[in-house]
Amino acid sequence: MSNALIFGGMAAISLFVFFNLGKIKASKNQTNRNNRINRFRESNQQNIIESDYKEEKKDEE
Amino acid sequence: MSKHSAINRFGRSRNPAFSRNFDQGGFRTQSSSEMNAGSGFRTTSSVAESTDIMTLDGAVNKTGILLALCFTGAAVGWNIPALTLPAGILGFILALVTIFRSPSKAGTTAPFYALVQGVMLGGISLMYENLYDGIAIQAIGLTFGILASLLVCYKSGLIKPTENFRLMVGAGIGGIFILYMVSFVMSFFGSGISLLSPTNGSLMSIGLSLGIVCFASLSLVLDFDYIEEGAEKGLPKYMEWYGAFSLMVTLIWLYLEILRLLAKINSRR
Repeated sequence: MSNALIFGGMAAISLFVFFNLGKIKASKNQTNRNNRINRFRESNQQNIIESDYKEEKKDEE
Repeated sequence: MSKHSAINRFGRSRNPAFSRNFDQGGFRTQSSSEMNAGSGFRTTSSVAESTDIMTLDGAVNKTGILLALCFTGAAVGWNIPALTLPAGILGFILALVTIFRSPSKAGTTAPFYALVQGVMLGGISLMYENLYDGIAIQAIGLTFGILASLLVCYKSGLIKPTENFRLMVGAGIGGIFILYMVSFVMSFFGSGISLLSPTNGSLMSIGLSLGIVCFASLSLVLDFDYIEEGAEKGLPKYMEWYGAFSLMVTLIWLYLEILRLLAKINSRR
């Protein structure tokens, strides 16, 4: 019985922490760093901006 | 002086009125942070569309829905253990479909996956519970305990997932997968890897289980980072389901490994 109470309580508290903390943004310590995993290939953004710039330049001409 | 000097100095406007889309025949004039170039996901800064992007709130709520479905399924599996194997196979197929065929349909497949895997977990938990009394609740407590503590570590920046971290976890999971596959193939010939057996209480076997639990736990951190980054980059709404689904896959794996580890420890008594 005490086993169920201890581990059941632990599960309940952990779920409470998850549902509350999960909705909060991670600290700047976590998000503002250079060595983050680049899953969505952000480096290609520069190329698109450059291509925008080129297209605009063409329009100008 | 080029007219782009203002853009260079102040950056591009975020005003939706000044943005044009590729779809409308023009070229895009959005800020780089709002573009998910190369990712296959197009997001715009339109206020009307801001409800269609992934958020942390949405991903956590969807994880809650999947957990509730999993517990419902577990109640069924606990009472009808004969469903364990078919549910396991169906769950595996659903996971493959969600991952490889249609991540965008995760909103449909993920709830079914959670329900079906719940049925499987209920049956397996009952099997272990019959061997060692009270083991299931211990595994549930430890699984959610690890989830919450790693979330605290991740949010506070104590654990920082990097490309090397991902490589290390990926390599470890790859090795574990090969071990599982070898054991699975060997089981057709009436043998198996005894280190993976839940009744093997040797220190080597417990050490292996501890290692697998560590890798499963660390992959939770990668899931948190995936959801956090997805919300930051404004991925489409369905990615909330996909993020919740990936968290569920890891949680189910972690729970099963903790169950096995506890069984091994109990078998030493």
